[in-house]
Amino acid sequence: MVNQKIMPKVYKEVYEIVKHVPEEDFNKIPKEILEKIHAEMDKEYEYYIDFDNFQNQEMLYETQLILAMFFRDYWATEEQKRKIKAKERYDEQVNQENLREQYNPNDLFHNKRNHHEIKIENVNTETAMVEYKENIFQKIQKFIKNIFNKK
Amino acid sequence: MEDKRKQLQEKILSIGGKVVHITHPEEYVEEWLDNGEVYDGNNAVIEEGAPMLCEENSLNFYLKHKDEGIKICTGFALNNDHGMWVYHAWCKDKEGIVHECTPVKRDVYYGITLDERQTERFRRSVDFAYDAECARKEKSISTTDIGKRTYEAQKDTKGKNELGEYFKALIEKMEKGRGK
Repeated sequence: MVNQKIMPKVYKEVYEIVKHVPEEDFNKIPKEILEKIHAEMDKEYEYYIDFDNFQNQEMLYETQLILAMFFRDYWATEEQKRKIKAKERYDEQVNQENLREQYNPNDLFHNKRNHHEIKIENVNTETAMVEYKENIFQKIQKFIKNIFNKK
Repeated sequence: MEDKRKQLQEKILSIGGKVVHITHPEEYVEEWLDNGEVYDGNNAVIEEGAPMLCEENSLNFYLKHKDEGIKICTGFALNNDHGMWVYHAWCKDKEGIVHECTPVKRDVYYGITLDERQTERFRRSVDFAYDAECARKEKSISTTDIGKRTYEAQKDTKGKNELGEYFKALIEKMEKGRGK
């Protein structure tokens, strides 16, 4: 759910950052989006960029999301776009799997006498899934890091 | 600050009209309070320009005619029909004649003539492409650095897609408003 109250500050942060990218990349962002951001930003919000330490630049999470979206849609190379989209497809598959596990219609109508047994099984399964997920998660982290190390 | 806004409000209403809302930053309020002048709208020349875009139109008119001595003015304009002063931008020539850059006739103007520094600030606040051109000459940020900095958010597919849909809806609303 987009937090609309915070968006004017988000727009200001996004604008202050993107106006410093090379002209070629700035022009890749659709003019309508830039117009919207410029029109709606909180002009009184003072946001300063530490150009010497940009990797630790303070920014709102929504600012990061918008910039991540810009990177994916307008700035990434074809190879980077392919990897990001593959990652997004994977995320969607994992999400669907989780939903299926949670709302499996077979479990909904399972006999009450076996309810206690099922609970124990699920706990064990969940624990196993968490451990399994962490390993996968570490792999995904490496995968994403690699996207930015190769251009 | 509220004191200065009130002083400006009283000054403007002493000229005419019934109401003026002042919400601008302190810097602007002080400039208007200390250096504001009154202009008669009856002599104003109505130039071509889209409605509701006084700043953009005034900037464009200025850029086209600055060599002829045209300057930009900012402040407030009064329409006696409803008695309301509104924030406004317009141009004036060497003779002090107002050039109104929207299709609406105003009765009275109160504001300042922008000097070189103020004009540059105004231009950068209105024209974001120009602002970006100036900004990247001062300091630049590579898109790769932005990608690295936002790497955590890259993983948030749901968040990105939600924002993407939100923007898409906003742009569609904007385009509908323009009659596209």
